[in-house]
Amino acid sequence: MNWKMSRIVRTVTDFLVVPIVIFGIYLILHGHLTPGGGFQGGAVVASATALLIIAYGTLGRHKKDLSTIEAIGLILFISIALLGIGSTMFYNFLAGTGGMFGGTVEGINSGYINTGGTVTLMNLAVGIEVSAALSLILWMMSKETGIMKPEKKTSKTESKEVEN
Amino acid sequence: MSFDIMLHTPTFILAMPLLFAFLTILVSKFSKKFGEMTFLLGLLLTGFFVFLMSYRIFTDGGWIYTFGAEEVTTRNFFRITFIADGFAALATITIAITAIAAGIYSFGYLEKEMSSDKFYTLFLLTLGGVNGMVLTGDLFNLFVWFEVTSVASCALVAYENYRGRSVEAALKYMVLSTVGGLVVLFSIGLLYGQYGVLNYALLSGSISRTFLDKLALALLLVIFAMKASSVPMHMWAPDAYGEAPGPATPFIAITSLGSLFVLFRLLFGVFGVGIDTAAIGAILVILGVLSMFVGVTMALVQNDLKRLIAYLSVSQMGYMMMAVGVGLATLNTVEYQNFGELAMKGGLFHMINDGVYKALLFLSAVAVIHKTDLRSLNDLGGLAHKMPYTTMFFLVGALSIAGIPPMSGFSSKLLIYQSVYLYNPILAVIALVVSIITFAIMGKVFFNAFLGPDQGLTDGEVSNVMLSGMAILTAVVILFTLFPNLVVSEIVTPAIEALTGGVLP
Repeated sequence: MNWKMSRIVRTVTDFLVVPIVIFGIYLILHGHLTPGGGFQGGAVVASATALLIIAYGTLGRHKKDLSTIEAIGLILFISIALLGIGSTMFYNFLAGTGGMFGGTVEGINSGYINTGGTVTLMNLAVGIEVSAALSLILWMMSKETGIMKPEKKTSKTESKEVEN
Repeated sequence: MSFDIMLHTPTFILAMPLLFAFLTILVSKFSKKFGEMTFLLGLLLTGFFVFLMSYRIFTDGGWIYTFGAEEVTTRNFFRITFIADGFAALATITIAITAIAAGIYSFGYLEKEMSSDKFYTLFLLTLGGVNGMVLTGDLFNLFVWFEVTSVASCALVAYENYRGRSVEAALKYMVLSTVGGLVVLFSIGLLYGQYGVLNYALLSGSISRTFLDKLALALLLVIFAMKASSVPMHMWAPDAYGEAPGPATPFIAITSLGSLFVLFRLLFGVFGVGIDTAAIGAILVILGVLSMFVGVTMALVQNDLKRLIAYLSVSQMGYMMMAVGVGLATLNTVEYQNFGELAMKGGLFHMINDGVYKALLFLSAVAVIHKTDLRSLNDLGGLAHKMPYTTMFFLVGALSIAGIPPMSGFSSKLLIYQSVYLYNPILAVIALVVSIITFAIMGKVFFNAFLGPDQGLTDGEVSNVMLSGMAILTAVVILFTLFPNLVVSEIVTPAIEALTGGVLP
């Protein structure tokens, strides 16, 4: 018994969610080159969730998955930090090695995405964490404020208030 | 370049609680039992690394840990650094003992809850935040850990959100912490704008008594004194301590103690060179005397068991502020040799003492509340018949907080009386009077709640897990009681040397 918006809104949402998520992923992956990064990109991805909640009134049974994803993102972040422990914690062991994200930078911000070392990976971890966590927060808030409740219940409480 | 695990211990003290906080969420999805095991493993690993770090500090001296550098020994003032010295060892030992005991205790307390993983996560996050706060050597990093601690401990206070009062307490705590965090950020901005550095060691070299320096010092002093629940900024403390879920209560108190550690580090390490130490020391003494006296008089009229201990905790904070304030006021003078150092010894010894016996008092009070569902002293009575072990543990904590001669609280308070008397005799008199009132209060509580005829309020002792949590703390209190000289010479003296010797370069 969930409350939904009209078919038009739902269809437009279906179309809009894809570019919003892609833009969020772009912000996350280019965090070490352009303004943005893990947190900002994650927030953009979470705004897609907000759209879905408003249009459909539900996220299905994905609440448990969200908190799992959130925990995985944070564990990933700390694990990457710990991997540098051979030198010190947070040591950027990938930078300049030529491997994953290990390209050398030439000139002022050449826009070459394959650089940054662990910074890029950490942006990714933060992006996963923030998108899942903000989605979870939006979910809880929408549940508490009654967006997800069926319409009949709200009218009942209103009539009770009038009686009182 | 060889890998030396001992040099990396400060970062593990921080990384272990954070890593296991989120592992606990994941593992708890499969099995509650394994989730608890993960939580316990995280706590024990943290304790193990605290032990390793302290061992290295006490044998070979302190060092600076630079994050993200090629080697641990690299000095780079623009990176985040951690300071591992005697003072950090004292602080982390206090935090770790309390955290392990309260963590084990929480298994028994949360036995009947459907899911307890969120509690464990918040607990470990708070532990990580406090550890970061006392270890960091960078002002902006300090702000980050301050916020982590505030958010995690606010959520911990509001954990039993079906009770309206705990939500109210958490809201009060959160508003004050958030405003406090912003003020800390503002004062960090004042310092950064003038000198362009955030590192403690570099800042302490450049502080030069400008008006903005004084403003930043005043703001930092007020906010960290507020977090340390000093009168007149103590109003959140009784609410937060009183309404936090049982096993978390001593841990909220530990965040206050952690803030006090940070305050001392800032006053001695960062501002110690460039300020009028006599005046700032006198301000600390005044705050301390106020906390002692107002805290204990407020405790006198309380009926709620946990609120009463919370006010006593405010009053105990006063002892530390007064003693260390005397040390700060006499710093770099002849008087420091005469009595200032003794006052510092008393103050810092009282900190580690207080962290342990206050946790013991809180946990045994929570055991009573957990078993009887009663908080008011008017309703309680005759519990010693059915709960002999809890009674014994409470008695040890009560005697210690009142400073009755053989107990550990007495050894640290005696050092404080002796040294403070030479600074100003009135202070010693006030400290003695407060101690006597504390004893009277503890006597009242003990007679009211535990002695007398059995009223059938409880059907027996709390579970063995909860008893073992309290037993750990009791063992530590008795250890401090038996060997106070050893604690002072091995743990407290290196801390004082680290504090007054300036921050490691």
